Amino acid sequence: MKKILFLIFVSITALGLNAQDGITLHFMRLNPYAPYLNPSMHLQYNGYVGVPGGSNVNASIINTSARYKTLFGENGDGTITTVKLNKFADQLSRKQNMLNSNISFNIIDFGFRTKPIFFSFSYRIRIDEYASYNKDLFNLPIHGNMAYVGEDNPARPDLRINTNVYQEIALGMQIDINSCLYIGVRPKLLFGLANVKTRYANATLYTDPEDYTMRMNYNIDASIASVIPYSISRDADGKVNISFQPKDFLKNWQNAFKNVGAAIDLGMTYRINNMFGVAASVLDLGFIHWTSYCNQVTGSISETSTQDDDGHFVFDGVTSEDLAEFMENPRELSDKIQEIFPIEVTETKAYTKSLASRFLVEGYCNLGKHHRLSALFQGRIVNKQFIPSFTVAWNGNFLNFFDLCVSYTMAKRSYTNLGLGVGFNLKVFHLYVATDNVFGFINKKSIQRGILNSHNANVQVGLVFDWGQTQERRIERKTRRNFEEITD
Amino acid sequence: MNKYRIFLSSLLIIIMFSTSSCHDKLFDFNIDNIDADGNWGIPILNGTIGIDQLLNNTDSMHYVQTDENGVFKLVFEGDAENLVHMSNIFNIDNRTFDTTGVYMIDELPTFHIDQVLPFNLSTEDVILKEAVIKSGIMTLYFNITSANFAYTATLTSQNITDANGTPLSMTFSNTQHQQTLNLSNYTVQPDFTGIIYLSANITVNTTSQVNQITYECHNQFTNCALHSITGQLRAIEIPINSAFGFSLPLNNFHFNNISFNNAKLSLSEKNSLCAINGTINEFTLFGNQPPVAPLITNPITINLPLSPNQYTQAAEVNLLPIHINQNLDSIRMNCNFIVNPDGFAAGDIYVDENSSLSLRVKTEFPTNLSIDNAVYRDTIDNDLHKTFNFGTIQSIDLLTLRFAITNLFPFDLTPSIDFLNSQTGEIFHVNLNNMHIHGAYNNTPIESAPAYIDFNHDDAKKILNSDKVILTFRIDTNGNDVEINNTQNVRIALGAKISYSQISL
Repeated sequence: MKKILFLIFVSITALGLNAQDGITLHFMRLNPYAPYLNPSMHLQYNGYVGVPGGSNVNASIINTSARYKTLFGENGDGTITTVKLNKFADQLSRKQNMLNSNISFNIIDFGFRTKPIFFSFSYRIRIDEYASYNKDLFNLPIHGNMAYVGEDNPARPDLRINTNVYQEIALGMQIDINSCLYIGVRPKLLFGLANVKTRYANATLYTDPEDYTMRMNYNIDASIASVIPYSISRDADGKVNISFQPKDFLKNWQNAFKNVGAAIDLGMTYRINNMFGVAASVLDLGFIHWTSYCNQVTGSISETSTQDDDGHFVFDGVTSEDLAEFMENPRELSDKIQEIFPIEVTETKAYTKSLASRFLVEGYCNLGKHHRLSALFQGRIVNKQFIPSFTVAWNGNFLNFFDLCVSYTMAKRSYTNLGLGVGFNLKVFHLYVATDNVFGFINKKSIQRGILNSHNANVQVGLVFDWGQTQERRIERKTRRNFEEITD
Repeated sequence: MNKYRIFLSSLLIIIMFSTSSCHDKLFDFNIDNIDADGNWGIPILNGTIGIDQLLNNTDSMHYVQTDENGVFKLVFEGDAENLVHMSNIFNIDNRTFDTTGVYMIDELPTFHIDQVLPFNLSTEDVILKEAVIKSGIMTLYFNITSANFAYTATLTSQNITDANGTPLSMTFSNTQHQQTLNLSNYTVQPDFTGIIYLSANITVNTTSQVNQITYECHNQFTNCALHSITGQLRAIEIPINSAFGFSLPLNNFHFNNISFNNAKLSLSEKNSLCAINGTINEFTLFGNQPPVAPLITNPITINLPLSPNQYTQAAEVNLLPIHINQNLDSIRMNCNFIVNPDGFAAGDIYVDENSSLSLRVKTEFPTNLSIDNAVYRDTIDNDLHKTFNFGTIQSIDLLTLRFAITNLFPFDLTPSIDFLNSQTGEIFHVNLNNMHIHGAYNNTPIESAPAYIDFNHDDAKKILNSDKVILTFRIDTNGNDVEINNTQNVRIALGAKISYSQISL
């Protein structure tokens, strides 16, 4: 009874926390979810089963620039009294600022070994959101266009969004080719639920320093798809209204499987000798074909507006008649702006978008049976941008059940990511907690504040049932137990 | 195993407490300040303003036309209708004709008297041949005064007929001496001598011997209006004084002198009376302090032949150069017309109640002019406080307005802007840095150097506290004679630069 209550308590605790396909978890060799980043990784179990709906809930946030303490100033009792736009704009990266979030949770997952193959199955929901923007996107409205005067100094705000919500059904196979070489493949069937992706969303603004004449251009091309019916409209004031009709979705729930896609994870591990090894993997190499409620949002300077030879809209002031008209009837002004800067939303039939892929290259060095040093390079390709990171980690196993990992990760504009992972392998279940950035939670006031102020925050906690440690592990444990009996 | 459980439980408790948050206020907003340094430059206005657009804001647009070369001209046109009409020539005034007579009776009981009451309606100016009466009353009295016997007397006239041509016939008796006749649509046609005769057929009823009678007859015409007359007219001189008003809204203008050259007068006439000659003795511009300027030096003789259906040009005269230094409100004309200048020798003339002489006077002032120190001043309401209050703009550290003007008008402009608080009398004068825009006297656009005008918080307060804006422009042609045409304009480029460093909410 106590064991059951304890199990429930831990499950509830686990459910309340967030987890991620994090780097630190990958180095914890006793963890059944360690192979998520490399399907060729040899698992030291004969099988596992996850808690349905709650064994592996993952969430992470990467926020390189828009941090709470950077944006807001508080008084003594914590009330926000100041918005610090200057500080926010000045610390932005010129080219790439990211606000990414990834959430996934397993509905069903399990695995079992049939020599020499370890099969795994998982059905999970994934939300992958990637947004990146450059400095000009915020610097221009905050500091004004006079910070960008001259022919060689235009403002070029840029925004890239790639968001996917989808169901993933994966069937993994890890194969021991021989005692040195392991390969893994994990084909996945995908069913898209929602997608927003920009091909481009950018603008250019030149300002003449003498007479403030503006030359501007903008280009928007974004695709939106959803299984929940929605409509996008514009009212007479130009305000965009988006409304969803979830009841219609419930009537046609089969639409949840209408947007079909496929992806594959590939991995390879090579044990050079008992001490050294290398590994590599490619993840989420795939696409989804979106067919449900697809819309394309486009915008560019209207062809009927005044343009220069480069196709930029030129604004050097309104005529006196227009000025009088706008002052008398401000709606005329908003109509004119909409005419020059139209945003069109058109239904499209279907489109195909690729997933944000990532690749990892790893090398490790075993220091005895219980300790391993690893170095891993990871790269993500998102919105035509390359996001690298480099991690070094130490993993140690103690007393046959305690798994400890300490890692250090360098990422773009973030060099203080100290990771920590702890796992307890207690007979039939495995309880673990890990994070790639301990400092993301350290804050004298609260953990939430720590998360809001950190470059990246993720926690991985989970509960999974496993069985059948491999022969090697069992012999080792038996040897140690015999030694303890003798010493007692 | 117990040790493991204790250790595990402790670790889980640590995890639980470390993953639960202390009470921390996050996203509790009460923002009163935004730290944002910004500098925005915005072009506001870039347009051309021509004379027609300037005048569109006044009521004077209908006075402005362009000639075939696009040169603007001020055109004042007015009609003086019914300057001369039939009543100026002939009227049947209220008058009475009396007679008493003695008649020697030659036959009884009925006898006839010719020419009981001859009378003449003609005047020294008009020998009447026929008059058709529109309305009027004729009161006729007849009485035999010499005896008391009964009688009937029927008075007739072949010279007075009704609408059907029936001659006048009225019956009197010893008991009825007076009768009244409505003369509407009656025609009066005197004989070739101009005389209208009344004759009488009298029947007496008496057994006495009557050899002669004495009678009395009165004929009174009252309130007669005429449809038409036919007759011979003497040449009649009629003096006319007429004024053609206009309201140029030049109240905002004050000027030493504006000189107009090459002004022109056109006279057109619509004449359904008869041939008329005229002399225009005076043609003068009038303003607040009359007179302003005579437009002719010598009288102008004009002929006004018959032109009953439309205006036809009668005269076109070049006017003197005009120098004005005040507001204008009318053109006044003093002239003498001679109706039917050939007089009786012209023969019979027919005029009716609709016949008249109307004149159309058109005066053109081409904008071939010179301007000496004219000032245009307009006071308009300052409604800025309806859109902005100081709270919305106090975050702005500095507002700089940039003016750049390209002038194609052939006159110099010196602008001035003042904001007036009419309650306190405080005036805020906007420093335009002595902006002066030179005139384009050679048809070459003159670009002025951009002027930058700074406004800080104090300036903004004064502007928002004022209720009037006084715009003043000094205009001068620097002694040049210039033409204003429709290719000229002024291009104004207005931009604003706004600087802020902290936005208070």
